[in-house]
Amino acid sequence: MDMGLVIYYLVVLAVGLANLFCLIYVLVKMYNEKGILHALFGFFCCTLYPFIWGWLNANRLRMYDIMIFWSAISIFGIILQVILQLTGLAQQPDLFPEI
Amino acid sequence: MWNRMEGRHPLTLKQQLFQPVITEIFSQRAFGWAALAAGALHFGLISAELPGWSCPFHHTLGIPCPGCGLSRAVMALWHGDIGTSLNYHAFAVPALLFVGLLIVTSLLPSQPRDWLTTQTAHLEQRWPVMAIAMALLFGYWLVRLVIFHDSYIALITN
Repeated sequence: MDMGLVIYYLVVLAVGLANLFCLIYVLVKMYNEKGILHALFGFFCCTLYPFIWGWLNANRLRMYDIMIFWSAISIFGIILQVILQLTGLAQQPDLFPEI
Repeated sequence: MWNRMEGRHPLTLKQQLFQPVITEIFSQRAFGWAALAAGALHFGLISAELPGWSCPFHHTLGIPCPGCGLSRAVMALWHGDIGTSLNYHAFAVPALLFVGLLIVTSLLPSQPRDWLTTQTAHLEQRWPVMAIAMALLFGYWLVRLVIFHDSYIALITN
């Protein structure tokens, strides 16, 4: 595996970890605010519900920074996936499994 | 609602099981529009064979989350391919029903929308709908993950 590909994989992993961190952060906020059922629904919904809930409550819960970071990371992740397809790296093991 | 940060008393187990999750989602028009926009974007990208929103759990930990495969199952169901849909995720029908109701509640004028939300609230007060759905989904995920591990991972990853 060449160095470029290794760096690419590391970037992909970093994006995934950042994405997961933001999700868990919002899920914890959701658990504190709304209880276990909302947090579970957020977990089972694969980020869509916590992402929207996070934006709708960003002002009240003072988590604009996290939401902006999460949005940027998500967009960056999609761009990385497009690069993955265009460069033919899609033949490699699936890096961004869809929900 | 329960708020630990404000030092209120936590809800009892029964109160937590009967939390009105669906009602709360349906009662916020902004949430409905945002969910529909995000969902349309996600399904639009998948339809165009472009990458959609990825699952951070599967992406980072290599373990599919309980909702993994659901969007592909809904897409297959939307195209009438029931077999493929069931293969991806058995909860595609309730998910599509939920999305349908979300679209209806987002588009309806205030009065019928309030009526629909009230009916949902009555249902959630009477039955722990979301708790049952979550338990079934969790059980389904656990069975796939433990018993059908290899085929499940292969299906979701590919």
